Amino acid sequence: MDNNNIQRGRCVILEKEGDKGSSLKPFTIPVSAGERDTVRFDKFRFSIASIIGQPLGSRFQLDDKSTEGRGSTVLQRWIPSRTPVEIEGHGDGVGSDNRSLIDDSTAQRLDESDIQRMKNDGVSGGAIVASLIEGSATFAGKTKFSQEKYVKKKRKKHDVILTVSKPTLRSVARLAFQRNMINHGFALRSDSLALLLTSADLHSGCRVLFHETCQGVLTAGVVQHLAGNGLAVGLFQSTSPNSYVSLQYMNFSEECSRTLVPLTFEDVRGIKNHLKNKTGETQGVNEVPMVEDDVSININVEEPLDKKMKIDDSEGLISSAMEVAPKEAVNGDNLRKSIRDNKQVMSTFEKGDFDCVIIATRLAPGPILAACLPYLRASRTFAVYSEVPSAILECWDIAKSAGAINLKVERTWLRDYQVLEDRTHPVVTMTSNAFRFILTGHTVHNE
Amino acid sequence: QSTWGGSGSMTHALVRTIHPNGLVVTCEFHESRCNTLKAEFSEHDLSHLVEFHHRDVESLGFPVDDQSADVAMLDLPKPWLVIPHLKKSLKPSDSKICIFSPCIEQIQLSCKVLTSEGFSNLRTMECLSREYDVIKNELPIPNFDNHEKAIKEHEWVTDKNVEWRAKPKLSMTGHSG
Repeated sequence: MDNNNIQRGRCVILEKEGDKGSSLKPFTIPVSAGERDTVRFDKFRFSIASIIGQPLGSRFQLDDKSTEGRGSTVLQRWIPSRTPVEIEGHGDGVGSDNRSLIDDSTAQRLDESDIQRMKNDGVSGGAIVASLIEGSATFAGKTKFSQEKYVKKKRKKHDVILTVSKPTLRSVARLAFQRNMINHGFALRSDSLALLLTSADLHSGCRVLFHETCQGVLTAGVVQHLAGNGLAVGLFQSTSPNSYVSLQYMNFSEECSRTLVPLTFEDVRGIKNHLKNKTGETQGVNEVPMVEDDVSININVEEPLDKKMKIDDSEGLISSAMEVAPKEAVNGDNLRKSIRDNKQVMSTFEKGDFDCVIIATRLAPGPILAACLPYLRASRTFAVYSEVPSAILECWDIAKSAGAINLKVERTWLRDYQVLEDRTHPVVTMTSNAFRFILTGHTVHNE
Repeated sequence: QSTWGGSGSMTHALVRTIHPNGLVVTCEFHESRCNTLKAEFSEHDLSHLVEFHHRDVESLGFPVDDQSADVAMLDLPKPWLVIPHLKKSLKPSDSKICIFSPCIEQIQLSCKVLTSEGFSNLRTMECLSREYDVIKNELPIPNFDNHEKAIKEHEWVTDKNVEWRAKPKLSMTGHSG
C-alpha cells in the first residue's frame, strides 16, 4: 500500500497560486535531506524538514519570512476555510452596485512602502490583508461579491499558500504544458493527452509504439497505463532520459519503468534493415506507400531552434535532450546490440504485433506514421497529434493509402469555469487548441 | 468507485484504466439493469475487476466505509446528496472526486457542498470534441499560354493542384450527459 505522506526520495509537485496565475514546480526530496536543508520555489525558500511526514496534498502558509534572503522558514500547515471567503467583520456588504465608486487610486490608505515595512517587521500575510481591508475607504461600500473578490485578490498577492501534492499525470501534464508553451511553443494540453491515450485503447498488457516531443508527458501516460505489464517502445530524437523528463516525476516503480524501451529513429531503421536481411525479403506486413520519397527516418537530430524565440534553457533540458546516447556497438545493419538482444522488441517488430501507435510531435508526423504503421496489428488503433493542419491531413492520406478505416480528425475544446453562488461564469482566459488536431483510425487486415 | 451503472460504457472505460490490479465498485439502483451489466462484464471476462451493487447511493452512500478508495466518479442527477457519504469511503488525503453533470445548477450545488464538506482544489471545466471533415479539393490551374489555341483545342488546364482542407462538421455534440 502506497504511503500517503511526503517522503524523502520521492518527487512531489509544489504549487502556489500567485497574482499572475498558478505556478508549479516538480521537486524530488533528497534522500539525505536534513534539518537544515532548504528548497527554493520562485522567491520563497523554506525548510524541507517542515514538509516531510505531512500528508500528500497538504497546504502550507508561505509568508514573507520565507522570501529569499531572509532565511528559511519552517512552514505551518494551512487548513482552508469551509465558506467561500472569510472576511472578518465585513460580512454584510452595504453596496448593491458600484455606481458611487471612483477609481482614482486614492481609496487605499496604505502604499507600497507601508506594506513592505510590515513585511520587514514580520507581519503575517493574513494580517497584511486585514490591514488593507481596514485601509480601504471604499471597501464597506462594495457589494458582497466585490468584497470577496477584493479579499481573494489581496490574498493571492500577500498571503500565498503552497500545496505539496503527489504527482499525477494531470499535474505533470499541466507543468509540462506551462514550460513547453514558454520554451518551445509546442505543448500537449491535458485534454489532448487524455484523448490520445483513450482513443488508442491503451491498457495494461498492450504493446505500444509511440513517439513524442512533449518532454515525456505522453511517455508517462503510456507507462502508467501499462502498469508494469506490456511493452512501450518510444521513439525519441535522443535516448537520453531528458527526452522524457516528466517520467521521473511520477515515482514509478522499477517494474513499471522497465516496460519502456527508448529507441531513436536510426534504431528503427536498423531494425528494419536487420529484419529485411534476416528474412531476405521486404517486411511482410502492410507495407505503407509513402506520399513522398522514402526519407522516413532521416530526421536531423540537430534541428535549428527558432532564433527569434527567446528560449529559457536554464535547466538544460533542451540542450541535454539533444545529446546523442553513448555510442554502442552496432552490427552491419546499424542496429545496436542491446536492441538486437531484446527478444521481446525484435519479435514484436518482426511479427508486426504492436497494439497501438501514438504520435505527438512537432516534427513532421507523416513520415513517422508511415514508418510505424507496418508494425501495427490489424484491427488496432493509431492516434496522431500535430499542431500543423496540413501535416495531419498528410497523415490522413498516408493512413487511407494504408487501408485504415474509421479515420477521424478532431480537436478538443476546454473551458474552465468559476463556480460561485450567483456568479458562475467562464474564467477570463482560455487556452486555445485552435490548430491542435488529433487523427485517429483503425487498421484492417489486408489480404 | 463509480455510481450509475447506466449503459456500462463509463464502467468499461474505468475497468480498462485500472486493469489489472484495481477494483471498480459500481452501484445501480435499477435492479434489472444491474443484472444485465453483471452478465455483460462476465461475458467480457472482466468480473474480477468490478463489483456490482444494486443500491441507491443518493440515500445510502457507497458500500465502502473503510476509507480505502482513491477516486469517486459520480454521474447522477443529485451528486450533492452523495458527497457527505464519501468521507467514509475515500482515503483521508489526496483522494479525488469527479462529477459529471450537464446542468450548471447541479454543478453549483455540488461545489457548494464539496466546499462545506472540506474538499478543496475544486476545478470545473467544460470539455468538448470538435470533429472535422477532410475534403480533398482539386483546383485545376487555368492555362493562360496561347489562349486561342487552348480554346480551340480545349486545353483549358495545365495541371491540377490538390489542396486538402479540414472543415469543422456543421453540428457537434454539446454535451454527453
